[in-house]
Amino acid sequence: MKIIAGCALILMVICGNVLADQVIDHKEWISSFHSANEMYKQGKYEEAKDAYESLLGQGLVSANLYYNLGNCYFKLNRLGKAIVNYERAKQIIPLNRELQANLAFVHSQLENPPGQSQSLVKGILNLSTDSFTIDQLTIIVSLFFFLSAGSSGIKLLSKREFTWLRRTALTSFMLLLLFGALWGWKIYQTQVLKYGVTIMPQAECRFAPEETAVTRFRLSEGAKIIILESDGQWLHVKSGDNNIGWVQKSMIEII
Amino acid sequence: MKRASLAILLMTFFVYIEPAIAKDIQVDLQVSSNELEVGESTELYLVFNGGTDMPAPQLNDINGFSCQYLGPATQFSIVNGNYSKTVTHQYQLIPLKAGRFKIGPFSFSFNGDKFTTSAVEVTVNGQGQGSSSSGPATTQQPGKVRNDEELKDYVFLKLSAKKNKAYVNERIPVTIKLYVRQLQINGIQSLSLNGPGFVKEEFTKPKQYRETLNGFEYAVVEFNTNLYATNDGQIVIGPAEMNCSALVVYKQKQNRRHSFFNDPFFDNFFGGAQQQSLKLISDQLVTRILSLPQEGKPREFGGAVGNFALRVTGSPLKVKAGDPITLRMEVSGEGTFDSITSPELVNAENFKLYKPEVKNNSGIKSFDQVIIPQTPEATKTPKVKFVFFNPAAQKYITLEKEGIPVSVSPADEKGAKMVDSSPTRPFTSGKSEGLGRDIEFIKDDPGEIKTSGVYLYQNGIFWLVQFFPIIFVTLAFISNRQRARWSNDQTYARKLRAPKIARAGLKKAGALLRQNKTAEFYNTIFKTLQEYLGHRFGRPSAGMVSDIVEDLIASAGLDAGLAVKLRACFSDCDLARYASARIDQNMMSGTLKNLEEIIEYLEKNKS
Repeated sequence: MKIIAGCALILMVICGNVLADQVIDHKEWISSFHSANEMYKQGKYEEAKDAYESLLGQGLVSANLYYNLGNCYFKLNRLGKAIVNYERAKQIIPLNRELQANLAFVHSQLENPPGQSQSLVKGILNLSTDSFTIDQLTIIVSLFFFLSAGSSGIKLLSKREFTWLRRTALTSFMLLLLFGALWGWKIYQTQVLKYGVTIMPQAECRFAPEETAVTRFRLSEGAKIIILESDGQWLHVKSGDNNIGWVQKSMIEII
Repeated sequence: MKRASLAILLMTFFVYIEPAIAKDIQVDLQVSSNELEVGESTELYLVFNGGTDMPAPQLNDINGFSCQYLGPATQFSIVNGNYSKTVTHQYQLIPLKAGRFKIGPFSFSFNGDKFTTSAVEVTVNGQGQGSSSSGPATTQQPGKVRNDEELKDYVFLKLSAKKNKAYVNERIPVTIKLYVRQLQINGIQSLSLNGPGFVKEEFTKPKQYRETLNGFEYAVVEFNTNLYATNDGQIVIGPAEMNCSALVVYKQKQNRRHSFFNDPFFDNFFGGAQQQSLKLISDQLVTRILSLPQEGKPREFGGAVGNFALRVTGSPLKVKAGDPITLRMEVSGEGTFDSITSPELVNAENFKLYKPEVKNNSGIKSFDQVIIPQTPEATKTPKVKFVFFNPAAQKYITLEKEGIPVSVSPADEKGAKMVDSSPTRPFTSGKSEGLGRDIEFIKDDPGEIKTSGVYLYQNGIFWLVQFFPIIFVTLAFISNRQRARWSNDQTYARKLRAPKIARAGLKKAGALLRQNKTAEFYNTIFKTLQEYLGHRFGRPSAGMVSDIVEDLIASAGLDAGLAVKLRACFSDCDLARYASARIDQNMMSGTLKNLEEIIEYLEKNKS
């Protein structure tokens, strides 16, 4: 019992340290953030945008910073850049109502709003994972791992057979598998696959990474694409309707 | 009774009559052609009149021919109640050399019956005119595989393009022809046409025909495809490469320059044929690719190159405002369909437009565009404009289709609402939404601030923490196993308890020694010794007396001095029981020390 209590204490200390690493106090950064907000409120969108961008340049991010920057770009009528920043914010606060509303509204303003062409399985997986951030899924998976292993360990240690303990171990193990799969899918979608958004009014996708190559299709502003590879100043991209072509890097911003 | 008679009759038929039929079988040998050329195939038939269950006979050793079994065919007939059955086994014969051959007679045995076929004569002529110069390999030795260079006059690939000058993205029809004479191509394994600077369509189904080239007649297999250049400048097409297998006919050049047989006829006569894998490579083609002219290039040009026609239809044409109309725009003709983008819709202010659904059939690319009239003022569908570059005319051509008249009645409230709440997010041709919508305001609070691109799962301590449950489960598992052993293995459990019993006994004895209670002291010593030894050796404690314990010590290979100490300990206890007056404090201390040493020794030597 003492050993278990000791382990729990060590665990709490380590978890505390891990979580503390995630939250850092940066007074100066916060002060600059508020200054940028003031500029936005005064209608100085260009200045506010620059101020937010400089905060990003310091290597620190927050969902609200991306959100506010997205708003600036929208006010400057740069819908592609607005979508990029909203998508970045979505990776941190996927269920935020204001963010969802703004993203939907900007999409509705596009010349070609995104379609919904994806398989049922992919759709379900994306719907499930879009509700969580990577860190949230990581914590959920870890908790179910602890619960599953803890209940299994206690079951082994206990001299009596407790039905609730067996059910807890089994249920938590099943949930561990489920959320583990979602966690893997989320990491694949956000860390392995590279997404980008067209930030120019129109981007020509060509057959080859050359200025003189023939245009295969065009991407309109705000179109979300998958980046397959990079070659110098060119990106090999796949559009939402599965067209593949080469587009200049300057036309696309990676999310 | 009647049924039993019928069954016996039927059994009699199948057991006795059927073999009787088999004995009457006549076997005919037939060939589809009695006169052939080397390499030209013919069919051979073995006809079993009257039928048989006999498997197909093997005809491997037919002089001058290669033979392959093709399959059986069975025919039944009942005429005027008479049943007859004919089984025909079919073979493919390929003559390997020129000459006059007799095929058959063949004999087979099956189920004790012997079948003998008739015989046929087949004449095999040399290929072409019979001249030695016309054969593919006048110098070839029999059995030696010929190299591709020697066969190049008899089998080769020819690559040709219909254009030697084309625009970027213009369709370039390309033909690859396989020319064959005096050989038999048995299979084509692969055909490829590679080169940088163009994309290629799939090859169409090949055509076969005969063609005379340089005075020789060839069997030709023609493959067609289309290429599209991706860049301007010169591009090299090919070479086309084909892997195939062929039946190569060769003639034996006899060393009989001055002999009577120095005649081309005899070269043919002594020739043969052999399967051979061939790799055929065509010449390359160079084509000049021109870039599309910038002059006169309309804004709407989407990259289509070729010659196209545009057809626009719409349905339904009588709707309420807010109801969808499907506008089908079909682009047909010749050219690069992959690069055709949706035609432009002009004057679409009164419509909401959806992204078109694209279908690409052979020769027609269709765009189904859903348009929704917003007001009854929409009297025509939007005008459709499609621009392409025509390489023949060397200019951009704009096709325009006027809007189709539509009748739009005012929408009822419910209908209009339904369209507004459509989940597929329509878009307007302009930017004004007109619904009083805007983005939500910025957030005052910066929220959680973190380092860019850093996630919890990348933290090493996080993964270290994940080892705790693993360690816990492992320890729990070991503990569980230990407990199971305790409950199942009494000897083991007693052995583990022995030191605890010993410690308790020694402690109690020490206390009694200090109180100088001789009788109780020795009782405790005796009891401790018995219980400890019983647990230690897995025996009943009550049976632990001096002699038994000495035997156990001896069998366990322990120190003999231990036995002496034990005996002394037991003697002291006996002495205390029967002559307690002789015992003093020193002796009691000695006994206690003796017991401590015994236990210490046994604990150190547990194995």
